[in-house]
Amino acid sequence: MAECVNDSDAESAINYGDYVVLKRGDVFKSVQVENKKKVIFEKQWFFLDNVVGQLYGTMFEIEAGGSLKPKAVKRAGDSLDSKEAGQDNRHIVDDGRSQKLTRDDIETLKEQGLKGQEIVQQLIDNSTTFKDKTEFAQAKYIKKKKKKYESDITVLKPSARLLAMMYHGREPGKICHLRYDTLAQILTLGNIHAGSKIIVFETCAGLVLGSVMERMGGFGSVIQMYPGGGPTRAGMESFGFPSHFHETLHDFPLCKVNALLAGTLDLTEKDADSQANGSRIGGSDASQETSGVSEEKKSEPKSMEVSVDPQEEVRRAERERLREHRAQEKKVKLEEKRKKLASAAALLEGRNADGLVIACRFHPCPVLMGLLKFLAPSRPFVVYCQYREPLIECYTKLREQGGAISLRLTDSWLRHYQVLPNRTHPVLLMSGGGGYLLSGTTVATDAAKARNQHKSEEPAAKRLKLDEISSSCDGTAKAISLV
Amino acid sequence: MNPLKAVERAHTQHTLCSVIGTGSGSLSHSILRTIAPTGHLHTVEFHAQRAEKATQEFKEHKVSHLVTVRNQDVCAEGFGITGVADAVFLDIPSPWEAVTHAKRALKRKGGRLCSFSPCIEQVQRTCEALLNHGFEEICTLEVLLRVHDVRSVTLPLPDFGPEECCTNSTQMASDLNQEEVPNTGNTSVICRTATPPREMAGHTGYLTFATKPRD
Repeated sequence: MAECVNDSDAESAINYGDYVVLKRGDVFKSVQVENKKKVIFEKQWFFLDNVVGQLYGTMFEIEAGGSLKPKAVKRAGDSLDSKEAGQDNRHIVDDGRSQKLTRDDIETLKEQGLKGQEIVQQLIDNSTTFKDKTEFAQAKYIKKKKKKYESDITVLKPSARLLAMMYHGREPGKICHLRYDTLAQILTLGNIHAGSKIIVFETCAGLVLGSVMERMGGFGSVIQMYPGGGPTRAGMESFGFPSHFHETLHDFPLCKVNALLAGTLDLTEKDADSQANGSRIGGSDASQETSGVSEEKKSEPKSMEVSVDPQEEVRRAERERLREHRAQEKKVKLEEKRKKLASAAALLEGRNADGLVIACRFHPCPVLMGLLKFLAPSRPFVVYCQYREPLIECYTKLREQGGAISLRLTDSWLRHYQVLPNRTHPVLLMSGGGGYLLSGTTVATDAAKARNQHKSEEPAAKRLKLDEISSSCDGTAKAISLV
Repeated sequence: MNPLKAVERAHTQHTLCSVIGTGSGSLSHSILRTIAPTGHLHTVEFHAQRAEKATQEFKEHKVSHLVTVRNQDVCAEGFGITGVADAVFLDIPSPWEAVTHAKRALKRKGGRLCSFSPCIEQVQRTCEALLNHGFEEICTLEVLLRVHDVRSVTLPLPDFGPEECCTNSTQMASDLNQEEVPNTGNTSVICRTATPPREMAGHTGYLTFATKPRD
């Protein structure tokens, strides 16, 4: 009998600093457990302190004052009373007056401390039409009221699934409208697995990055390419990875890609003074000036010693020490940054990455053409785009240029079902789309060039017909064979 | 092969998975790729020959250390594992009969389950069984992958006869914002587009996911 190593409950207890996912019904929110910090979720506010020490998956109710209390596990037979039911709705008139409790009444009940289930029971008791509804209608009514008035919150361990659903439900714009099943396709088509070296370029708040890292389980390495100032990691942090995962994560600025490819990337050490002349690592210019200035100021106090108040002298010395300390810190930070850049560059230089994942708001074509160079031959790449046309362009370019085979442009159709006895049907609202994916495999370019005599895209029959129509058909035929 | 299954069931390192109904072993291989090197897969197949073939293939592909194949009927005899699985996948004709065993195979602290069935009646029975056994977040969905054929299509332009002013087919083509195909009597424009295939797989099966809560 196989045993899994990590099953101890001690592993699953929640701690301060942990990232968790709060769940109420179908709504999720990612938060970090912090001491006495107010959290707002689903129009309610509370403190998370009481979840510390509890196990993941525990359900809580919100008490007056905002503290959370663990709730006993609900058993399946916990249904509300419904003694009688009608046969159909022919006599039920929807005049909006069947509920006798007013909104104020309900607020009063809440203030009196009535729990969600009790409020729902009150609503049932005070509804004139409830007993006339069919059993199905009653169940639907109860479900709806429960959703509104039962405020139980479950605290869960983050995972790609939960975070993908959360982002897609709450802030799809932040993740370029990437739907969770499309994300799943990315991980599979990209063959993301432990031990590989994957390049990721995404502007999906770090969700794609986190999902890739989760799949790799801390083995191998991930190089996050980033546009502009710095890499976005918020979504990735929400996964709550153990610290050793972070050691596998590297980042590299897009603006240095050309330099790296040309072999002109400057990674040598410089001392504080001459850094102003060196490579422009983001944000370093300001710090160079400060460190330069502080070097100068060192000599100043000595020349200004004439008749100075001793207390003032102490304060000045203190300020000096502080300035020097800060300059030293900046030097250390810059050195760290340089080292990180060098290590990322070292991983990329070999041009032997095992996979490439792109999911961004930038036009995918140049991004793909630029980053493909870092992939070894016979490796998968996946490009996500919210729209189809940019990927058609990528496809066309790759066909022209060669270097990739098995190109596939796909999207995923997703539909949820309500499954209940005698009430099974697809859910009313359906996702209109989850974005598009272009996937392929790299091939060694010299072999690719030989294979790249591209034939017509159109089926043969059509081509013949066109030849018939225009007698001087050279132009047409040439045009077709071009693409 | 549905990748949604893997994400929905949180496959990663140190995961113990169970695939009931090995069949061709394609899903098993996909899962093995995901959970290697620290996870383990238990798979059960009631057809002796298929179980044998699968065992052989795992060996050929050098992954036998990651997988245990059992040849038995899960509905009658269970999975062969208790309280150790993080995720269970059911690909059998009567998954509702395996729900009790699935629950027992999953860890006390909880886990995920997925059942794949082509018929809605099977889905209904399975959902009912899951509900009765205290599973939560029961969710049934359908997912289909659609392929788009990227190609150039040449669309001929109509001939409305000679016009009074100087508009000609070049004008027509530029109106359409497309390049005109030169040197032909009847001009055409080329569109770069992606078309769906004439027919596509419209249904393979329904996927039902559920969470086993902490005991």
